[in-house]
Amino acid sequence: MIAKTKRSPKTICISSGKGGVGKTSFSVNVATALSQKGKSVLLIDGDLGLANVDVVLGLNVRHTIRETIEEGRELASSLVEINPRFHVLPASSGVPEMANLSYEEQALLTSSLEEIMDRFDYVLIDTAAGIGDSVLWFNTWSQENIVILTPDPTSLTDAYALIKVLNSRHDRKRFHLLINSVQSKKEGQDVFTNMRMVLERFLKITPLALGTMPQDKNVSMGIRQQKPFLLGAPDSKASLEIIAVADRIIAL
Amino acid sequence: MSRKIPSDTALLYRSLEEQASHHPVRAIRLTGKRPEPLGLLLIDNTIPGPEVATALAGLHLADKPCPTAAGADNGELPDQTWLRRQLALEMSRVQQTKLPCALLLITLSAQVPSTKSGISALPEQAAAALRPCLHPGDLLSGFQKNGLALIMPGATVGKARKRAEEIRANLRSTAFSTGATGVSPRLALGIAVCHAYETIAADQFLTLAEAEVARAAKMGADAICQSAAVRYEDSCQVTVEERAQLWMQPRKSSRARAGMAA
Repeated sequence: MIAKTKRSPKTICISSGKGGVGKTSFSVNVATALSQKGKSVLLIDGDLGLANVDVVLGLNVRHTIRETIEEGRELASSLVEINPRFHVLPASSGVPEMANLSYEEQALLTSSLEEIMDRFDYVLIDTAAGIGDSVLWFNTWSQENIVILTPDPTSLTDAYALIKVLNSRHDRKRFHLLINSVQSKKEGQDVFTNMRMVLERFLKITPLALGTMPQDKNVSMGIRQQKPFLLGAPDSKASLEIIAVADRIIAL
Repeated sequence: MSRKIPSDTALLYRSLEEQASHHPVRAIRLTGKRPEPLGLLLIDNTIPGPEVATALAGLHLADKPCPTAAGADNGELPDQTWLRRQLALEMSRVQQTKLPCALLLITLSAQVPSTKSGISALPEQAAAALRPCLHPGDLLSGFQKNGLALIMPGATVGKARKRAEEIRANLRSTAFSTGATGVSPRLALGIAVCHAYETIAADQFLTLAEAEVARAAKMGADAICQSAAVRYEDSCQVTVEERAQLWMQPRKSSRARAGMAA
C-alpha cells in the first residue's frame, strides 16, 4: 500500500533518441536500486503506444494509462506494485493512437499524474525512442533529463539530436548523460568527453556525467528472465554501477 | 444557404456565455451526440486547468467538452477583452501542462464602406466559414474591427503554421459579401507561440502576434508570418559539422584501444 503523505517528488525523464540502447532496462534497474535505498519510486512507461516496462518486469497488466485517457479511469487503479516502494504505471502496447496524444489527452494525463505522484519520492519516465511529441513533452514536463547513449555513432547522433531539439525548442539546458554498454570505463569517459565537447561547442551546454554502464551478460540475461539484473545478479559489474548511479540520482 | 434559427435553449446558453464572459469564470460547453449542447459548465478562473480536465473526465461524456468558442456557432464574436482574459488563462495552463499555446490573428481588408453591412461584417462571415476548421479546445474571438483571433491550445509552431495554411485556404474559397456586393478580402495572418519556458504576459503574447499580423499585412499576398522566436525552431537538424565532430572521437579512441591491445 502506498503511503498517502503529500510530497514533492523529483521527476526524471529517461530518453535516448535512438531505440534499443537500454532505456527500459536502465529505468527498471535504477528504480529498483532507488527503492532498495528506501526511496519510493513510480516508474511510468512513457512509451505509450509500444510499452516495454511491463515486459521487462514480467507483468501481465490488465489496466494501463490508456484506460485513463480513453475512459477516464483513475490512474491510481492502473498502478502495479513491484515492491512496497516501487510502483509501475504501465502503458499499452500496439496502440498507435496512444503514440501521439492530443492536447486534451496530455492535459488530462498531466492532471491525473499530479494526483498520484505526490506519494512518491521519485517519478521516473521511460520514454519512447525518437523525438515525437510525447517524448518531447515528457522531457519538458520533468525536472531532470537523463539521456542514454552508447558508443555507436548512430546512438551518439540521435542522442545529440534529441538534446538539440530539447534545447532549441524547449530551452532545456541540464542533461545527465549515461553511457551504456561500454567495453571499459575509458571508453565511456571518451564518449562522454566527446559529447560534452560537441554540446559545449555547438549548443553551449555542459552536460553532467551520470555514469557509464559496462557491457555485462547479466543485463541481457535479466531482460530474458524478465527480472531486474540488480536482483538476479546483485554483485555483477552492471549492478554495482546501477547502485552508484542511484546514489548520484539521490544526490541531484 | 439557409440559416438555422437558434432555439430558445440555445439562446439561453449564448446569453449565459455572454454573461460569463464578464465574470472571472471559464465557460465550458458540454457537447454530446445532439447538435445542441448538453449543458454549460461555469468554473471559477482560479481552478487550475488540469483540475478542470479531471473534473470533466469524471463526467464521462461521450464527446470531449470544449471551451465555448462563441462566434463560431453563428453567434456574436466575443470581443478583445474576452480574448485577453482567455489568453491569461491559457498562459497559466501552459505553465501547468508544459504544453505550448499558439495565437493566430487574421485580418480581412477590402475596399468597402465602413458600415455594419460593410467591413465589420467580414469577420463574422469568416468565423462562420472557419467553423469546420476548429478543433476541440480552440477559442475564437473578434480582433480589432476587421479581424479574428484564434487561440490554439497545445499547438506547436509547426501545427499552428499548418492550421494557418488550412484556414487561409478555407477563407480564400469563401464567398464574402458586403450587403449585395461580393468581395474578396485581402488576408493577413500572424502567429505567435508561447512555450512553458517563457513567462510572458497575455498582453505581450498578443503584442507578438499583432506584430506578425502587421508584418503579414505589409507583405500582402495573404501572407502568413510567425514570430522570430518561432522561426529558428526549424533549425534543429544536426549539421554536417556537428556529425563530423560527434563521430570523430569514438573512432579515434577505438583505434587507440586497438593500438593498445596490439
